[in-house]
Amino acid sequence: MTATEAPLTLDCTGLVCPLPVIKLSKALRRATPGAVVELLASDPGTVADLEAFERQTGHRILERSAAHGVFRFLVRRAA
Amino acid sequence: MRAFAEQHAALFRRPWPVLTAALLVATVNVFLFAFDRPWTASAGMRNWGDWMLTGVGLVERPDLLAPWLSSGSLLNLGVLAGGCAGALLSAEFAVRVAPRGELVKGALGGLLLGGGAMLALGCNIGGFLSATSALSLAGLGMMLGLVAGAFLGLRYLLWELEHRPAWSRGSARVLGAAATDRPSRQPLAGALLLLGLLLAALAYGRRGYAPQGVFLLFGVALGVIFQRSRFCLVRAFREPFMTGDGEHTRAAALAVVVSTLGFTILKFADLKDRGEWVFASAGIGALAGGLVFGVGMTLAGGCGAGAIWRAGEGQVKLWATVACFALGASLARLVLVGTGFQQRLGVAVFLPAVVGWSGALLLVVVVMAAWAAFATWNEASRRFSAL
Repeated sequence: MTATEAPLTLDCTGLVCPLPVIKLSKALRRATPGAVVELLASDPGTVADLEAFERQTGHRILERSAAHGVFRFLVRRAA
Repeated sequence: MRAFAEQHAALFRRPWPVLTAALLVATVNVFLFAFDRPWTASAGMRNWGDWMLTGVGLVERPDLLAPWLSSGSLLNLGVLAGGCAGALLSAEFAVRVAPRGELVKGALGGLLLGGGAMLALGCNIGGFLSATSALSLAGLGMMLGLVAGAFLGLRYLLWELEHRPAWSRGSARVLGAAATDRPSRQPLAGALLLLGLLLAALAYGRRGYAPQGVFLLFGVALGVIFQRSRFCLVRAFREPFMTGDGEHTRAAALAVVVSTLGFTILKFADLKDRGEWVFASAGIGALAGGLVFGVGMTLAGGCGAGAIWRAGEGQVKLWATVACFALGASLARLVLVGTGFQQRLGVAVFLPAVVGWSGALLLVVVVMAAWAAFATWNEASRRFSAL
């Protein structure tokens, strides 16, 4: 699978910290190792939250971008 | 010019380091105490709530200070405007509409923040950070409650996501965000807002209300520092139980220690009264208040400081939190006074009167060091982390 093909999208726009990270963690836990989840969030706090989440869990942020106030991340589940 | 561009990027393109922010917050809090009184959000919240209750005819308060004259209210207005200015200057401002489930959690969280702050005689800023700095036993009592409350609040959120996923469904509109394909006008608006706040403070001074103008600017400084760093006391209490990240816990512990050193100097040198900010809530008030407040701040996603500056950067959920925090504080105080429970919240304990100056200082430093050490150990072992 390439980094740009995301099989699952979590739309967390409008949700405030810590919900985006908890929802992402739950989705990754249910995914197969190596699977990629796309996360959309509007809380700017999600950026730092995801960096801490990556440091702590070993799941990898593959891509990140922001447009019109929405942050988009592609996160790969740790093997 | 390149040097200036680099400094501009460090200030408004990248987030400020969290530890730097913690030191700045502690320093501003000491300055504020030296100037007049320590920082708290709940006093201003109650002022706003009392005005709401007066508006609907529930209470009569002829002595109630106008929101533009009350020091607590001005601090909060400053934090709100500072959060907004910080977001605009870095082109991060946007009205982030909240789905219904988030609005409900924001409002309920706000009510709990108000109730908890009245039980503990201060929010996590006034009742924990400033009270601990003032060497009041109630500050450390509230800390215990906050740890338990943040843990319970997080367990609830995990339960809700598992069993009631519809209550936190995402997908919401974001309005007024900066365009990414062309230069945004937000930084200009932010600079104009800061200029307007400075002029407002000067106008206060010209009319003989200089302290009010200074309170407003103190709030603005705190709002900008928090927004640019996203230093978060909710994360400090919650994160060890969530991802295990300990950065904000260490920063919060550092802020308390530095603020405590400053307050202790002011009190020891008799520049401030020793009994100041030592409230009669050491007991059930601080413990239960911390617990209720801890649950509330986890549900809302913002504490006494965070709810206000996040409202300023356009997060609609926190607008509901701020309104309900104000209302909850006023209603809780009415109930506490009406039932006579206000007199039974606890006792006022000035730690140096019990264990001496060095003993009190040592106690605060050891508790904060232990908190930071726990977070650091847990960061590696993830023993208490749910995610």
